[in-house]
Amino acid sequence: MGVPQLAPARVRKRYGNAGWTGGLMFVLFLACTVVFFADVLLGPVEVPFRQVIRILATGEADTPAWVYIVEKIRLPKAVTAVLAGCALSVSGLQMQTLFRNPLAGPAELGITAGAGLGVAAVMLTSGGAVHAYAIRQLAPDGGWLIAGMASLGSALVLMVVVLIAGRVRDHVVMLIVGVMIGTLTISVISLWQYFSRPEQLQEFIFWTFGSLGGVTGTQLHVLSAITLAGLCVAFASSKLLNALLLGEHYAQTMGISAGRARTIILLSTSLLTGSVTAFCGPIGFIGIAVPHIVRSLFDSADHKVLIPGCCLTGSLLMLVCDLVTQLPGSDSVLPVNVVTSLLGAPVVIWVIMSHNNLRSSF
Amino acid sequence: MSAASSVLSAENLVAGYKRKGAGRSEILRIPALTIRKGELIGLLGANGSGKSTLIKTLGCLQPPLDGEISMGGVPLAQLSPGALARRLSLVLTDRVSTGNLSVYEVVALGRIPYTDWLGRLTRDDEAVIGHSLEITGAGSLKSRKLGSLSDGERQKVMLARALAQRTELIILDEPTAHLDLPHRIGMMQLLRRLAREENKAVLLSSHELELTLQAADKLWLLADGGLTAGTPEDLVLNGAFRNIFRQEGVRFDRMSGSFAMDLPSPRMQIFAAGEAVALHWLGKALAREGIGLAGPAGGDFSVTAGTDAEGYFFKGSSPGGAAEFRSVEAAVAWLLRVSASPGPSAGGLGNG
Repeated sequence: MGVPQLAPARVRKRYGNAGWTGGLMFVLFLACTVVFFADVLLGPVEVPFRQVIRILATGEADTPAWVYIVEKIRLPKAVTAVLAGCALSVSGLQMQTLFRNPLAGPAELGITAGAGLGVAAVMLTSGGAVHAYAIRQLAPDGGWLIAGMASLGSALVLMVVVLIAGRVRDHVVMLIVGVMIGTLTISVISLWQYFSRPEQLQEFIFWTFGSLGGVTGTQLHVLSAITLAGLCVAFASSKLLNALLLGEHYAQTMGISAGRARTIILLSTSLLTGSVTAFCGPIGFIGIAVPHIVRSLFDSADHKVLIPGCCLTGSLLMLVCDLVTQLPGSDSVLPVNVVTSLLGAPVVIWVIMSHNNLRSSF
Repeated sequence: MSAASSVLSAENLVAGYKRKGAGRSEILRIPALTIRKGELIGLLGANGSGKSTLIKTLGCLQPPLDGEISMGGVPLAQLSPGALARRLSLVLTDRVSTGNLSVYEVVALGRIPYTDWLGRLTRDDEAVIGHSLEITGAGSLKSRKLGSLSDGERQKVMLARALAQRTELIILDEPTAHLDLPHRIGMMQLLRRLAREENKAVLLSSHELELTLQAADKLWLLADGGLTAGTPEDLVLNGAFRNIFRQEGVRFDRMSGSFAMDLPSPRMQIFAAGEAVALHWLGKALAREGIGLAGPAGGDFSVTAGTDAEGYFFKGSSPGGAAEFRSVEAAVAWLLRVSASPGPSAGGLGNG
């Protein structure tokens, strides 16, 4: 019996909701663009709208200070927000699929803390405050060092978590183990801090507050390069991630080796979480929240849809958070970590309550 | 059958688990086994006899402790994971927890061994998916979400996914578990059809003795770390079946090929005649009470069954008198009463 002619002349529909998926992507992209410009436009110092457009188009303005503000502060910050949003939400998505656990996320499983350990290793062992400052702000290759160490720290913690996850199947137990590993890592950092000189500490503590600002020049290039590499690996692994949706055994019967899949996902997640945490400090919540929002919005489990969806939604959320941190009309800037939680938690609760399909996804 | 139609064969297979350290626990030791094209094989065995271990070992989810498994003359250990997935597909007992996958997407995952690095589906892939959905009767479920399916529908979808892998051998671990009887029968019929019409080799493990006995071309019986293979009928006749499920209080009926509760041997016999269906069910009720039905040469008590316009009736007669009943329950109650107190006291019953 041959294969009957079931395929229509033109295969238009993929899974029945291709139109919805495409439309939603477009809307999210538009929203991202609008908020991106709003983020560049708004800030403590008022720069006229026309001037901002002129700076973006020609690189010139009536006042040199405005050019500096837009090109050296606001634009890099908005780009950083986009990169951080993509990186954290995609690594959260990968972890939730890998561990088949809705509570998994870079911050929740201690991966961010691992990156912190890498950062501490660089900042607290260096010669002194001046040197540490130099690494973060000036040294052309310092960006690579700190990002590399943070990624290494992430990978270290993630490997421990993967090892334990092989033995623990229960979602809640896994989460508790993750929190414990995170706490353990943070204790190690604290111990390190305790034996460090005050000058060394200052810079590190400033880092722990989390900030999207201050990533400029070479650092922004480093962050972009690593994030892009991590995202490419993630997108290339979407077939592996899809196979893992049926569980590791089924993945294996379809020719996907669980070990190889784990290694690739581990690599991508470490790069993404590590680099963002290195430059922006620990940013919670985005990693766990965005994948849930995206799954609900797109009503899909296909990673070829979810990964771009996470990038757009994560960027949008980070940009909005960044807008909120600089509270229009106020000079003070809130720590971004606080805002992501403040804004993100209600969003997730709303999504779960209104769609009620979090359970059905796991 | 010639050796050419052999799909999978194993020699000197030792299956089990490696323990931590040097030790290992052997569960099965099988000198030789073969699966042929177009053959439906039922794997039966008591709980803990190693059904799952054998399924996982043949399905390459766990390595054999010893021996070699090969497909088409190529040892499985030499096949790449992708090549293996194009020759052998599995339906596991693992509960798939991802609820928001659509049925189409699940079946499409079966094309993973064939698709490009991004998993994009070609028109051929789509045709195979459509065919798999159609042949399993899951076509109408196409756009439903996995989480919204009943157990029976879900099992069909998982089978369709395995079919989409286009393998010559499909191995199923307990495909009829959690299904109700009509769905169990439907699943077995479907598997038979796949074996016959699509010329697939199908191996399934089951607890479902009677159904497997009816559907399978061949049975593999597991007991005491060994495997007995043969047609179901031969295994019934040579007693292999009875030996494997030997257990206190369980009786294997060779005639029907089913297991039954071991009932007490009858303490008395009564004469019975009349309509066969009514007698069959009366006999079952009486067997529970330790009363057997005998032929015409029976004892003091007798029952005649028959039908009239109102349905079944039973006429009983005893040395003490006779009576007529409309239900098995009443007839049994009467027989118990008169047989317990024979003689004059039975005289009170509706006499002539």
